Amino acid sequence: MTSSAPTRAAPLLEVTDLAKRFTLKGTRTVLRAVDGVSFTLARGDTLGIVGESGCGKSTLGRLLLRLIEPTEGSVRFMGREVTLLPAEPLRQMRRHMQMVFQDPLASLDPRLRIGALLEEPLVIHGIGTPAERRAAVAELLTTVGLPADAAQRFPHEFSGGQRQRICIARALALSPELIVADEPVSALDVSIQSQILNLLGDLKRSRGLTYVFISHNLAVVKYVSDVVAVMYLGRIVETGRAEDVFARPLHPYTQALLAAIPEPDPTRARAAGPALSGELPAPDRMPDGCRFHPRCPHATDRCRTEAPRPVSVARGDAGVAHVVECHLHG
Amino acid sequence: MTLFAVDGLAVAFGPAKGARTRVVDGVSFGVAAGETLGLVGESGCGKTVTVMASIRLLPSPPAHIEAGTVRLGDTDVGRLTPAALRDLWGRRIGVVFQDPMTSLNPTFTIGWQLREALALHEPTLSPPDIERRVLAMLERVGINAPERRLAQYPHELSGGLRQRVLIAMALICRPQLLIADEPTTALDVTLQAQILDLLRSLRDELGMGIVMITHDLGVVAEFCDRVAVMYAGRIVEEAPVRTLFARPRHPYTQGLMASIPRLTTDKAARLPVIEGTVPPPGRRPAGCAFADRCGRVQARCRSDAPVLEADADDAAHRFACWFPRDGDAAVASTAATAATAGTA
Repeated sequence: MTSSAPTRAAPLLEVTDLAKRFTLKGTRTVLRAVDGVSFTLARGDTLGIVGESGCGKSTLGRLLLRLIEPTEGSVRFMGREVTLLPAEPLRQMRRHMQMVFQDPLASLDPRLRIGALLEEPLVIHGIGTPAERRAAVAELLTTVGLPADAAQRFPHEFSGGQRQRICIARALALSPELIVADEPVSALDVSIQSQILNLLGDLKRSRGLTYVFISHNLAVVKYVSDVVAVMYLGRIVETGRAEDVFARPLHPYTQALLAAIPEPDPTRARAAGPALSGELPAPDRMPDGCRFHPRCPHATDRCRTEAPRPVSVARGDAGVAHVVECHLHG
Repeated sequence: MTLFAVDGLAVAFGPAKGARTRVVDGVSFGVAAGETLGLVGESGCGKTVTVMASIRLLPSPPAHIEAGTVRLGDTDVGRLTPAALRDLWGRRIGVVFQDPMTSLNPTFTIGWQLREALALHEPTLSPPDIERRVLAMLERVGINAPERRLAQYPHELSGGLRQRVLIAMALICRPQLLIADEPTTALDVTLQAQILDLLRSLRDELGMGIVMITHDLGVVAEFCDRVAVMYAGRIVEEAPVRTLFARPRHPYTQGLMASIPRLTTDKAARLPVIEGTVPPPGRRPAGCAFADRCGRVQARCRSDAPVLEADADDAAHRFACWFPRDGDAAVASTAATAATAGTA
């Protein structure tokens, strides 16, 4: 896997205090979907974002590309402030940042042939002559491992794995720097998942891509990521090099998540008893203090009243710190 | 003693008269009381159709049982009248589906639905008895303040609570057999762990047999006693869970096990893959359905369909392969990598 250069250049993506609040229709209830998230991502690295449903990981992914407007905070990408860009420069900027979604069928217009689907981004950005664009489409199909005649066919003629290859090809059409992939293999069968994960890995190596990889599957995230961020109720509660976080999880939530995964090995029984009791509280009823305290086995009075600040516990390889938001660690 | 026995089941889909497509072909398995059988396979392999057809939950047409017998204890399920079937469902067989939202009626309260399930099957119970049983069951599945929940509608509950209500409903008549179709797939991992723990303790308490349909080998390893692996409408391998994970013999099982990323997977290595895709029903090849994707296919595999047979030195381990090889994940991954290199 590519690591960042020893002399750290400016990161490709720098996110500071990013927040998104939704006001529920007809009420004054405010839902804090993303609640003060900061991180940096070096070019060529993969950031894995893990967390359970409702933790805000998909909202965060959409905020990075400004598919939805942030309530506050900053997203700097390739040295420019994305949150302040007017419409036309934003459209230009989007060439360099693309997204791959969970459900490939819902992401592809069923009435367009694959050739037209892949050509569309090039047309929108006025790239190439029709002949050049056809050549580009053929090359994209080869890149993602689809036959050339796929260009003449419609999305419904393909299997789920092939459709995800088409979505990846479409995201690659404009040669982006960054791809935000939101649960890209979750809807696929296991034997197909590994094909797509291999493809994403090949593309990262051959094109120097940077990924934000959003998933609820910890084993998948560990496999693809250089850096991991664990989200709980809108905040990153732990982040660091993937090796560090998985070898030495510090936040009780990260520990509980890891303990809850059933390992495909019957000789290694999961620890008896529920790893974590209770469920995610409704995000419009954010607990006081540490937002994890109602489910935390180590909660103290301090956790019930005072929100923990991020603490850098150790500096891992390539200068990426292992950071945790928990009173147990400072 | 086998509690639930399916023998030679074949299911086809199609109109009452006319062309049908065989989806499940010659499937046999059994479950003992207190035992959990995992039925694993990828989407479209026929695992859900097998189980739902076996308890006659699939409407005909379009589903047709073309061959096979199904027994629950002394009952021949295939011969039951519609009235007897309704008594079988709910009272002797409980079913938990993947999506609790579509399995609960949105227009009735939780309490109404639970009381109905019980009153239907045990008409002699008095209303106060029904109320007591319902509350006790909700408490048993880990629902706090059950009195308050009774008046709530499904949409007012979280996903985890809805799945608990569904389990309560499936178990309230203390069935002998529980069918669980991907019961935790829609849930987060921390909730999944809670629900699996709950099902395990209820199984031990009630001594029921469980058929667990899942695609998650982690869930299988943790929860099941025995596993049957399905591919393209047939069982290709069946064994006690430890045997299957330690010594898978069918190349499909081996490939499946090798291809899942685990916490221990080396990041620098490519994942082994099973190339190609599952042949759709109606276009399955004459011989072994896995032949086109198999790294060690030979001429015989293309002409004759292999039969599910017991291992020479282990009667509990059955597999359908002409050229089985010992394989732990390492062997399988070499085979799969070789196959990848061959096609690249």
